[in-house]
Amino acid sequence: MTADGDPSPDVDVSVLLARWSGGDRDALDQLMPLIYTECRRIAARQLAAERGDHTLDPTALVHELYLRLIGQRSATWENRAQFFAVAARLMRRILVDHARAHRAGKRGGDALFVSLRVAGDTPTDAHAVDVMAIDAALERLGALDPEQVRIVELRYFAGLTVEETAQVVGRSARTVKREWQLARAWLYRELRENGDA
Amino acid sequence: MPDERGPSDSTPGPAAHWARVKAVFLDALELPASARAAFVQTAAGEDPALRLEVESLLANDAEAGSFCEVPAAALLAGDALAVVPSSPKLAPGARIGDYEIVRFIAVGGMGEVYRARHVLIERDVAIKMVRPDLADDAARRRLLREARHAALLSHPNICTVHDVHVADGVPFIVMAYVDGPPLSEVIRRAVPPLRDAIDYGAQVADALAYAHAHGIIHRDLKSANVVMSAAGQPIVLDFGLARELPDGAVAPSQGSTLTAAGELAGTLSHMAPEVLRGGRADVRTDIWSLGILLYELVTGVLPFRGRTPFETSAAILGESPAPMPRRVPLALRLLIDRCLAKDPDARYQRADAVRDALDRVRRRHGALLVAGLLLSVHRRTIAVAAAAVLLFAVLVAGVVEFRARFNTALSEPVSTLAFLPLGNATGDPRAGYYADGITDALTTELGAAGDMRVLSRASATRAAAGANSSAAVGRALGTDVVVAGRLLTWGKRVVVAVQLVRSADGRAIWSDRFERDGSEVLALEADIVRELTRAMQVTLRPGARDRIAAVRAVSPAVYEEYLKGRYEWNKRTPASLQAAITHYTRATELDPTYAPAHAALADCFNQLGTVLLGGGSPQSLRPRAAAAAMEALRMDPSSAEAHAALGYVLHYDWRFGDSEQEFRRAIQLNPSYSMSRIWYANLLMSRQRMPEALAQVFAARELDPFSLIVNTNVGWVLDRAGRHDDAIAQFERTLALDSNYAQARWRLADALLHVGRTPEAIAEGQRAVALSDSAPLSLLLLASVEARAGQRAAAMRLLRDARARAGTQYLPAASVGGVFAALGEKDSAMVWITKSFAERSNSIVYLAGEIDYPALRRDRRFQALLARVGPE
Repeated sequence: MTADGDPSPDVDVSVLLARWSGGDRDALDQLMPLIYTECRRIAARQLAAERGDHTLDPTALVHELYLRLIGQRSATWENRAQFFAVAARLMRRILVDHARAHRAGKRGGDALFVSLRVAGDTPTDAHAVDVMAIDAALERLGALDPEQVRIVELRYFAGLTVEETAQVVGRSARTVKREWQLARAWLYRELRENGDA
Repeated sequence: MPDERGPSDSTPGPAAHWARVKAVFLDALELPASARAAFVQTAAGEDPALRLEVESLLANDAEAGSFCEVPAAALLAGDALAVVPSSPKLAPGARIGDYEIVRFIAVGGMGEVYRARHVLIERDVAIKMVRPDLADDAARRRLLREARHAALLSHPNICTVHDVHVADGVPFIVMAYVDGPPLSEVIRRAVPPLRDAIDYGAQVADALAYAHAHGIIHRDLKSANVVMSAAGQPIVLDFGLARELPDGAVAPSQGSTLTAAGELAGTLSHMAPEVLRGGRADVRTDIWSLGILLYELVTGVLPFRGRTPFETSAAILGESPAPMPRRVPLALRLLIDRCLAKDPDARYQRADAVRDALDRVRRRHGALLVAGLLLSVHRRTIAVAAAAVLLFAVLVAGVVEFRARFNTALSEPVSTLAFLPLGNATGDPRAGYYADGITDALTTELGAAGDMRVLSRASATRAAAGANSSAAVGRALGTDVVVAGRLLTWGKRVVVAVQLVRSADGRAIWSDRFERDGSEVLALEADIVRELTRAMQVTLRPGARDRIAAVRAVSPAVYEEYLKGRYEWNKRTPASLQAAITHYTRATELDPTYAPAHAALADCFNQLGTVLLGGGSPQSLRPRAAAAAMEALRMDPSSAEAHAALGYVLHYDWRFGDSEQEFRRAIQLNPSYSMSRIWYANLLMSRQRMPEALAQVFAARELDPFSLIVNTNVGWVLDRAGRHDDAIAQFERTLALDSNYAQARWRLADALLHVGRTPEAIAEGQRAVALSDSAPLSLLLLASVEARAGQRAAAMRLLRDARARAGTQYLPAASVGGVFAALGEKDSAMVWITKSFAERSNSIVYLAGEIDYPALRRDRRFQALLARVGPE
């Protein structure tokens, strides 16, 4: 129980996780809204506390999510890894949805959300890449190699470090680092060939 | 489509193809970039599609830069998760109170920010709303409090709050519209000139002093919260988390906070240690933030950064920031350091003190610039004297505080120094060889630079391994000071941060940061040597000054090959020497004028031809060594390494006088280069000049107390000087450093034989064989030990085994001859010794003094051979 209220006392997230990792796709659909709600709650608080720097620490967010939804009660490395995988996928979905809405706004001539929080028109971030294009490329990569997609979700969408990713996927950090390099090279080429990078 | 593969059944499906691509790509990543192309070629075999795909991915990997390295979540999650993705509430033209919205600017932590205009007085303003999804009581109260506090302040560097309104129940603040980029953006584009940095810092400090005097602390000062006005003035925004100090008291000890206990405000990398620990923020917290801002202004980066929140926190709580570049005046560095003291009591206690200190730095810095200008304009005129007087006056007036810091720290010039291996802080373990190589180069250059003893990298590395502080290493090695540093890379920029630590008390007496383009690594090294020797008050040798001044550019590709070569060289096995030769050769092909690669190549050929390594016949290796050494000298006549390598060649080419000259020149050029002393000692030993030989190996050991090669050779010379027991003790000390060092075991076995401890000698030989994976040469060496120990049968068997297993592989003829000689088989011995002459074996020069060949001494053929070596 937390001060902000228990997100959903009736559903045991760890049971859903176990079902999902056993291949039950419905479990994922039940998990998503649960995690989504909590995710936004934490993000909002983080942002309020951090005074509009307007970026989040996704790793901290995912860790906190985990503690709140699973809790120390049934924390095991196994369900932790599953949870992180779900959270990473969820982050991907949220970010892509956001980018889509953002783009729709742009077409409609509406104002944009920018990370810059002070006066001036300077565009914000040189690192910004087209999340939607990456998402589409990931779909194609997934057809070849789902493991690569998992690593990209954890690293790029959930912001996990190589070491943390290695723990989640149960491989050595060394291997994950190289796998990540491969995925990055593949995506980079894909986006460049499509003129997105 | 049914599964019809058509004629080419061998074409794998996409998944199988991908699996192979992946496997080859991942394997290729394990190799240095230069070796990948060849590997992919081989691994792909007859599959051109596979090869092209892997090559394409590798090329993209190389180009991808930081692509995707910043998590999308970190960039976008704020918007995506916390803000309802809808359009802003107010469209351009909308009216709110007396204001007309001009356009939407941004979403801040509290809500949307708009640019607006007062319809009557036509004043441009910024309007800050409360975000609808956060418009609860707490947020509203916070915003109102922010406005109330900020409205009290009127200062040219503080964004003026005009008004607070409520429209439709939603409060909003009206403040001055500042047209300009945030300071963080200005810094990100280009680090401002030092004068500007000091100027901005002083203005922000003044703003803080003013706010503090009004009982308001900012609590979230950072470059993103400061906007540069069109007039070039920094304007501090958002005294937003400011809290009223009780009764307007500014005294830090009475600081209190209205925030809930433990609530963390401010982004992590800006957080002061006391706040991070959950303590209260006070005036000194703003001083910390000011320190961060100043650091960012002069370096362009934040002082405390980590890859994870944990690392960042650890850095804030426990680590010193990376040293600032030396273009930043020391007084300013000290000022910033003091702002960033972990203990609030150790910081400036008031913002106006920081402002005043910045003003002093500004005045001094300005005067120095003027003096420098005068010097350059009126060179060779009487004005030089005038300018020098001015400069001196400025130094005396203002710089006394840091001169004193040096004077108390170092009362006399440094005479001994250990250069610890540079830490590899690039985040890429593959850059380890690069850090090692630069360490090597700096150790060498410092040794050649002035009259001080510089301990070798090998010794410093070994001592560092077991020590828990730099000073402890210095004490273990008995040096006055220790230099420790880290290597970083920023794109093509190479950065080395160095610190000079006094061994006696561990005090850092000097630190600096050097940065150059990757193509200017040699110049970077020269910078470091120049500044380090200055800090150590060491006078540069005239030759060294020229060397440093004449530094040339070397392409990063050449230097990379060179450093990889050094890395392999340091392992000193036949295979690693071959690998080193490949790298050095490539370096000389890429840049034939790069002397160090030629000299290093000479060393490799020399070492491969030694009897204990037996990597090839000296007959073919020595001419290549000679050519490489000569080429190195042609490119750089002052290279100590090249002279030493040439001396080595000449020694075993029986040109003893010339050889000695080369060694003496090498030692003169760099007295700290231990290998020239070791090889010179070999010459002295072969010429039976034992006292001189001992003096040289002892000098080498002092320079390089932990080097396995140096220590082994000390024992060897002792043994041959007849001091067998001292030799045995020396070998035992060497093996205590590394019990796996086979060369020391072979020499120990010899020494044990000399004192009649034959079973132990054989045991040592057997251990050495085990360490050498029973290589044919090791069997041969053991055969020699067994033969001299009188174990005839064992020796014969080992000799047979060695020769059978060697097959066509090279075995030094001298060693085979040695076994026959020890077995008393004079004729066979003569055949092989004659053959060793044809090979021009290194061992020939030692034959005259060789005590293991008594049976041969009387043989006329043997004497004739010896005569060929001659006295010179």
